[in-house]
Amino acid sequence: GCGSANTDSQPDSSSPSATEGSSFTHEFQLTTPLGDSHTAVQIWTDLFAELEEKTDGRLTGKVFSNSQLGGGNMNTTVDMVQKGTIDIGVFGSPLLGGYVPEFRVPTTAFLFDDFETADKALNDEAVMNFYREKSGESGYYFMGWMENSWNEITNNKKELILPEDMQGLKMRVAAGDIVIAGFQAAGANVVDMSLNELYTALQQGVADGQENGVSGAITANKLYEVQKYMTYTQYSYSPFAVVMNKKLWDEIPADDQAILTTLFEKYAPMQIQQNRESMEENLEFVKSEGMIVHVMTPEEREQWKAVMGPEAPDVQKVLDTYDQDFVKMLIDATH
Amino acid sequence: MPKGKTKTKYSPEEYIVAIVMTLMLILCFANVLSRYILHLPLLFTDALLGALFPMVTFLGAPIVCMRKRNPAFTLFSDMLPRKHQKYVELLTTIASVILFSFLLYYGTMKTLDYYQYNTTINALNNAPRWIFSVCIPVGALLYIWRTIQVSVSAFKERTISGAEEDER
Amino acid sequence: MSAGTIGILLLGIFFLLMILRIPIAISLSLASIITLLATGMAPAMFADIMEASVSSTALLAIPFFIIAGNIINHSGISQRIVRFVELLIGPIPGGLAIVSVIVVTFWGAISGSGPATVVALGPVLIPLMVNAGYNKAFAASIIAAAGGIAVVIPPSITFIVYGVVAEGASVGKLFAAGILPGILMGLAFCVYVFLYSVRHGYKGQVRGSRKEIFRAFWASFLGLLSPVIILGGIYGGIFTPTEAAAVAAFYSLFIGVVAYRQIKRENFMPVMVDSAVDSAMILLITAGAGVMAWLVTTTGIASAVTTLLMGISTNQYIIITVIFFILVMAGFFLDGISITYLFVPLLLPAVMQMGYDITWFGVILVVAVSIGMITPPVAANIYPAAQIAGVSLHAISKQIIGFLITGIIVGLLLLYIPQISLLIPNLLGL
Ligand code: NA
Ligand code: NA
Repeated sequence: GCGSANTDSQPDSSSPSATEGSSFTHEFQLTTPLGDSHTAVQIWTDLFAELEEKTDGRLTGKVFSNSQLGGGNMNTTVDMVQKGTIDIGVFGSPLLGGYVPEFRVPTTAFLFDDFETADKALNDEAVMNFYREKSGESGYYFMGWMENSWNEITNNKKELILPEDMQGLKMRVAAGDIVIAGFQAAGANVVDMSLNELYTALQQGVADGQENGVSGAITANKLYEVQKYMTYTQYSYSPFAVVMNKKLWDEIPADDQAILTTLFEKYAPMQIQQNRESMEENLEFVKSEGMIVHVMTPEEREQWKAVMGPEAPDVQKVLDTYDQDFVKMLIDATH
Repeated sequence: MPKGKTKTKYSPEEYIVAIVMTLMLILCFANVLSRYILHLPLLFTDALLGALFPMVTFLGAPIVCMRKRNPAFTLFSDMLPRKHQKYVELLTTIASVILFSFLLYYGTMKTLDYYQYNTTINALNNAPRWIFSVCIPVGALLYIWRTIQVSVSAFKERTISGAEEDER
Repeated sequence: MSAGTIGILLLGIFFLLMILRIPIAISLSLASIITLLATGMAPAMFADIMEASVSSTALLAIPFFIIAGNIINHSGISQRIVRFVELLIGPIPGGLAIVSVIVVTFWGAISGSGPATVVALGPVLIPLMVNAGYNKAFAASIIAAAGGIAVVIPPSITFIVYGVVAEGASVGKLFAAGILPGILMGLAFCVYVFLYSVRHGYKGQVRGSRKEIFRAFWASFLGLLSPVIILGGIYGGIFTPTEAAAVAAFYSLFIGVVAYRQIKRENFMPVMVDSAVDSAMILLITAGAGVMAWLVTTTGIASAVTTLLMGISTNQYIIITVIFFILVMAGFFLDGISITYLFVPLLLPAVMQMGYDITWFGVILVVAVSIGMITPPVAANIYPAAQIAGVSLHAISKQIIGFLITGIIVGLLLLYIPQISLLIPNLLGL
């Protein structure tokens, strides 16, 4: 069966195996907005292959990229996992913000100084518990993190060295209110448009710039063809929140839950590692395609952080609308 | 296309969809103007247009039904004698009622879900999503009503004209 | 259940329902629901996908262009443009028929929909031709056939839908690619009506004096400017295609209300309700076709068809010719939106595998769709044209054959010489 939990035992699956006794069978359907070239798609294909092997074919899985299970609409897939018509979702965390608004907080500009800080803070015991609990209340089981990207700022007009260089630029920003507040604080005109209009809009100057991951839209949607400058800021971290439909998770026998958890803990760090390597490769690639990349110095980064970061007054105003204990918890975890 | 020379009475869903479409048009145009004139793009445009858009389909559908503007493959039905045409209409009504009952049920479930989980749209100042998705069950209910209306009037009219034909 | 079985089930139910004269939109949706249930998928997905199919903001341009078209129909510009072209053509045999093709082709640069174009120009041009002694059915078929060019020349509802269905195709680029093929179709129809008129002895017009022509040009100037604003705005980086549609609507409103004072307050509700019906009709098909296209892709029907197609021949010209005729045949039974949603997922993978351009295939698709608008029984342009001219479907169907053949010849030309379609996008650096 596709999409719904299938607990019927198969008559011919009685052969002895490593997980003898369990008769739970299921084919997991996984959705992600990403294209096939993203590391997460490959990793999940590998994970499902090992899952199938480990359970003698009782548990299998299939990856559907580009939100195709939701007719191309990523918001629809978020609902579908909540409802259980899709089993697992690998979503850029702000996408879950409609159900758990605090999933937007990690993307706050300049919240994390580097990968280590991001890893440490996001995997903090209290932070994980918060997300697990809030996800549970909304019908999701929060499996943990994978990685989408560090987002970078690109534009067509000039090299952005300091935040004031962004004054008056028409920037397309998609990540939600916290990030938008940062851009506005830096004086950018934030323009609103869907990703499928972005390439042409940048090409023709309807927008001057945008922010996305080097391995994400910048290469996947070929934005490097229509963007001249990149400021390598590592300004906003975009983790993947991996969620399973809660009801399905609760139906899975404890042994199988353990297998899934073990596999996730094995493959998630691999994906994150691969993603960071692919980021390096893609950075070299866009340079070779003619993008002018300015790597921000620590001093410059401090100036940007003061304008767009979590302590900037405009950004703080927006952060105040989120669960205060949680925001404090996450910021504390970065220290 | 009907001309509006005489004062036509419009149904409630016609008023609603006409107003929604006008609002969407103004919103999109205003976004262009404010981007160039005020250098202040409207941030909520894309999200609001996306949220209002399904209304055009789901509340517009009953209007299409009422005005009998749904394209159909008429080759074989045209070969039927005139007095049997009403049964073709009945078939369409049955099929439509089945379809829109589905949509009514799942649209209601969806809306209740959004309500229960307090799901919001961030770009619209965290407006609740259910106020937009409620157009699905409402539109489905209206469609069921309109398609039954069409069938009933087809049976009345065609029975009369069928009888006239028989007399001749 | 195998992809093949699901595919046969899905299409079988769909055609059965359609033959029973159940509206296409309802047939598409109901066939999808039955297939969902039969394959054990969660039926709750249905409402989600249906909603997703019609909330894509990329499709917003459809209602906006429809509103723009309906407003401009009331603005009084069409008569002025007809007058201008009429004075320009002069004593060529079949002059008025050629004028009609040119005006309808030009109107394609304002309107994005075939039937809307027929409705806009038919009432002006058909009586004009009939009074000049043209055969009624021939006059109606000119408007119906040339009306199809409206989806080839930008703006175009079919291109917008293709841009959504074919991932990675840009609407801006598609619009640019449609310009030359649209003009080519217009020219081919001009040649055909010229030859037809010579044979039937239809005379030309009196050419206007330079002064008259200039005056007529000036009178229609605001209307002639409309495509310049739409396309100039898109390619000049001023607005996106969706915004262009909204701008076009306001520009038409300006012409109708301020410049020519043809649109009054009481026209407002009728125009908006008409637009609502036209839009909802298309979007309802989009919703149903969206669900079916989703089934076609996720159940693997599409990849089965790709394998099948690639097995036809090792000669890619044969394969693309087959693909083109599949689209033309589909045009007899289906509307343009359904064709795009159902056949693009089925055919595009094979087209891409052969190394063809995604934008070029969009052009091939819209040309087939425009031909489908005049091939009965499902022929969106024929019905309004026949109604306006007061002729039977049978009479107009006979007249349509010449246009059908001409359209297919143009289609084959575009099929074998992709450079025609790609010239303008390349020149614009898109
Ligand atoms: Na057009
Ligand atoms: Na047709």
